[in-house]
Amino acid sequence: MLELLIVLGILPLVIGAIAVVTISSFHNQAITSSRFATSHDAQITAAYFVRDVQSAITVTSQTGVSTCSSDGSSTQLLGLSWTNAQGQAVRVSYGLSIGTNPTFLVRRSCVDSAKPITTNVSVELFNGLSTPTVSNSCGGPTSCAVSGGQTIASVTVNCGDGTTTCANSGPVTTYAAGSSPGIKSIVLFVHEGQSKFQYTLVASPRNQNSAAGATPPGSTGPPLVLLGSGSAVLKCSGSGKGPVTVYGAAAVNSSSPGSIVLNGNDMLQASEVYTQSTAPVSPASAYTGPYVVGPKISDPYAGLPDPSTAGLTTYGSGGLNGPGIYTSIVSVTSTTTMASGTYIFEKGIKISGTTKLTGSGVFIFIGVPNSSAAQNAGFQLIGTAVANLSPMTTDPYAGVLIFEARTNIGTLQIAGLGSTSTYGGAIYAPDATVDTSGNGGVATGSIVSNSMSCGGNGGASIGGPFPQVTFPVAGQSYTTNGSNPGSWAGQNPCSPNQAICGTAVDLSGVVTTIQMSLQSGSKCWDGTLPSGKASFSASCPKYITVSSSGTSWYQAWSQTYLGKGTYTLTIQAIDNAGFSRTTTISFTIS
Amino acid sequence: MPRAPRSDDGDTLIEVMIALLVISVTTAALMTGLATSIGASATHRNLATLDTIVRSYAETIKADVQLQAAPLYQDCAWITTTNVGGIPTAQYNTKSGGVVTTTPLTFTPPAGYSVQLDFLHYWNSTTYSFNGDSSTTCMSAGGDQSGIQLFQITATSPTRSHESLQFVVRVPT
Amino acid sequence: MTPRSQVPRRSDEGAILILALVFMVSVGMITIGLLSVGNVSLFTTIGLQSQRNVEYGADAALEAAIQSVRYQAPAFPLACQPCDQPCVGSPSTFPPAGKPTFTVNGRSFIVQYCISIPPAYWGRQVSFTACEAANAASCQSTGALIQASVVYSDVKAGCASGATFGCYGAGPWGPGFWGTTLTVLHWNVVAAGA
Repeated sequence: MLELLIVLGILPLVIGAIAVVTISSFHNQAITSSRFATSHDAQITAAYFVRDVQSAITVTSQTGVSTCSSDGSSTQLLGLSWTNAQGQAVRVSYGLSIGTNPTFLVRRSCVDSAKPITTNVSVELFNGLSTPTVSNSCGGPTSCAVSGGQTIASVTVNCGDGTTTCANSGPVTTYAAGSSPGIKSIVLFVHEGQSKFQYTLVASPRNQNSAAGATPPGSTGPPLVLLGSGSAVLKCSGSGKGPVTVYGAAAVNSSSPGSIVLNGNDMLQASEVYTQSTAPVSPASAYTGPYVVGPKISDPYAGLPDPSTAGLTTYGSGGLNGPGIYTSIVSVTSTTTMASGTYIFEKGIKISGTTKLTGSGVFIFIGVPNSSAAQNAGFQLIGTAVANLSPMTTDPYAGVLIFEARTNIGTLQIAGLGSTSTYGGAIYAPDATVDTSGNGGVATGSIVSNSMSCGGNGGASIGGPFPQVTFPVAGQSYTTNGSNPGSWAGQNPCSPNQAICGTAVDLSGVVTTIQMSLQSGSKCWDGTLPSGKASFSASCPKYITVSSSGTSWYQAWSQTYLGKGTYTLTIQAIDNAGFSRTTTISFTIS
Repeated sequence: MPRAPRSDDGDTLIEVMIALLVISVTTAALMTGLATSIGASATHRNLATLDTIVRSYAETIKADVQLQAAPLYQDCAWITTTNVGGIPTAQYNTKSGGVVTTTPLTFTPPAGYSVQLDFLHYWNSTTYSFNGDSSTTCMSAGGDQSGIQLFQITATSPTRSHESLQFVVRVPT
Repeated sequence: MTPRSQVPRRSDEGAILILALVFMVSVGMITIGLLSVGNVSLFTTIGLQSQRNVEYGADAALEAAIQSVRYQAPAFPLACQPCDQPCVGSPSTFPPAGKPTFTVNGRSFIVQYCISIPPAYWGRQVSFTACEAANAASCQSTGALIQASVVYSDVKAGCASGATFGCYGAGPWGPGFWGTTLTVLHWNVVAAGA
């Protein structure tokens, strides 16, 4: 009896306490576990989300598309993409899981075409809630997942223009470019449904610049490229002091010291010498500009095909006729104008005496095309001969004036003893030497050859703009009678009709300004377009800027502006580097 | 002769007392464990929240000072703190041409949490270290790579636990 | 037949102790489970904190390296030929040898970088990889934390082209215009996308 009383007295107290413990234990187990899980969700989400946004280059908040496949059509909150250091396309999508109960917040990542990897970044988000829907109609955030009228997860894209909707129509770049205002930051807000735990993550893309805008100004190819190896790849000899002036970079592939051998101070002027050698110039005083040591550069014209012979007329021995194939060495001894077209000199060409060789829209190939046999056919400009040639402006040989066969070692002697010769395009001779020696001097658009020699007092300038006049033609005489064949209007090929026009090619930069000066007697045209005759009242030269587009330029004109007499037309082209060249012709109105 | 049956007198009480003793001791230990778990979950919750706060605050400052279209960055800037709507807010101060410009680095942490910007240090390109020079002794830009600033931020929870993070901003392009 | 009173009864002795043990074990299992979850969660938290500190430390080292390289004339000859991402050959290092380690968030970092200068490219293309100093040997592979590529323009301010005489950052012969501007082309947190 006593025992029973004691037991009955003690047990309720103790058992009651134990019951409380038991109930508390089971009750809090679920809550505490959930609390750990939701906190864990926040950490995992933070770890992934921040680094993904930092790496992104494009961002989209469009909910109806899939940035990473198998996303489903309407479960994406945020899509990010970038290219990793290995060149692989990476796409990451934050959205809702598909076919799970409850719904998770997931991160899907795709690398190139590999299968998506899905990571559950927040598993407690929609626990106990109805299936959420995703949309861009969120009354504030950019995109949101809503369940039971409550926003559980949302993304806000803070655009560079202050809006939050710039990425709703599709991917936009994180940097401002084109239609994209750029992305300042992206905010992910999460409200864990049942536990009411909320957290916000902010991340900012690190890619804030366009690759397209990164190139330092004026970075085009070097106008002088010497592909050969060993020493003296560029060599100036003799007592002449004509410098080699490169309007841009001189690239010498040789890694040997003394790959550039000059014969005096400041004999080489270039914005940069690019070489593999650490001591390329001998003597060092011959070049005092910057030089850069870097990897060997590849032949810029390595992919240029040999010309086709189809449809070309074949000429045997004799002088220079029109475009075609010349199977014997061609000797030009009198002033000749080359018609536009392709000339293939299988045995070379020699211009001598007092010859003036001119031509525009010309492409010259020296050697036998598509032949693997060793060749030795060259280009010789000797005596007081002068050349004034400009290249085609259409592909595949746009800008290429002379192309010597890749197995041809024949020297190209391009400067004479008389006046300066002008080659307004590239001279490409990968296996040969281009020789610019001569008191006449030479100006070329570009030289890409095995080696180069220089000397004499004429000097050589490589690169920069080359203006050329299409109409009026140098030395021609025109009447001003209507559209008769001999008239200015009848002969004029320019557009608009009767204009003064031409081209300007620059292989080392971009032509930014073209100007003309028209001289009659000692005075120049003042630049006004009259109703009668043009006024020649300005001091010379009087440069008037003409209209230009691409490599073409024109100045609106009428044959009624000009009276009888001889006129001198000077065209000046200036490129983005500030280099300029002029060309001058004379014509007559009769 | 059959053995007399053993008496049951007092067995129930003894058993119950022993059982109660065992249960009580165990329960006390288990309650402690449960309380520890609950406390740990609270700590874990704080740490997780602090993690999101420091990351977000760092990203916000980095965007404001370096990455956004009109960045605030200037060499030799300094930090002050003011109250904005009752919330202590760090300010980024710059001086140019004798004119001081003060810009708040606005960030709103969750209720009960607070953030502070502990310091801004400059990079010394000679000693390859961050120093605590004042803005007046800060090196000038151009050639000495002083275009780097080290920030340290701290977030504090309602239970006084805190997380700190250091990060760098660079002079924008 | 044995009288009921003489049938040996199954003893109830110790039954309550067994019940007590059952109770103890069940509640104990729950509590141990909770403690384990808490233990794992807290250890995970420590790991994620450490990872966060490493990420922002690498971010800091990379920014410092980008700024450091900006105004430096390239050392001749270039350390790697050709220079690709990731660097091949012998990349340069920030901080350079002999200088104090770069320490942020209590961790030390290095940045390896390679410079490429194409001909007539009036600037430098530089690829950077940030990693923890302890993982320097594998910085270009498994140790990489952040990889970035940057273009520096070395054209004198106001010049339209580096080809213009006197507008490009000079070599050993004299002062130049290194790092007039810089552009970050790519910034990839290596673990991102995994």
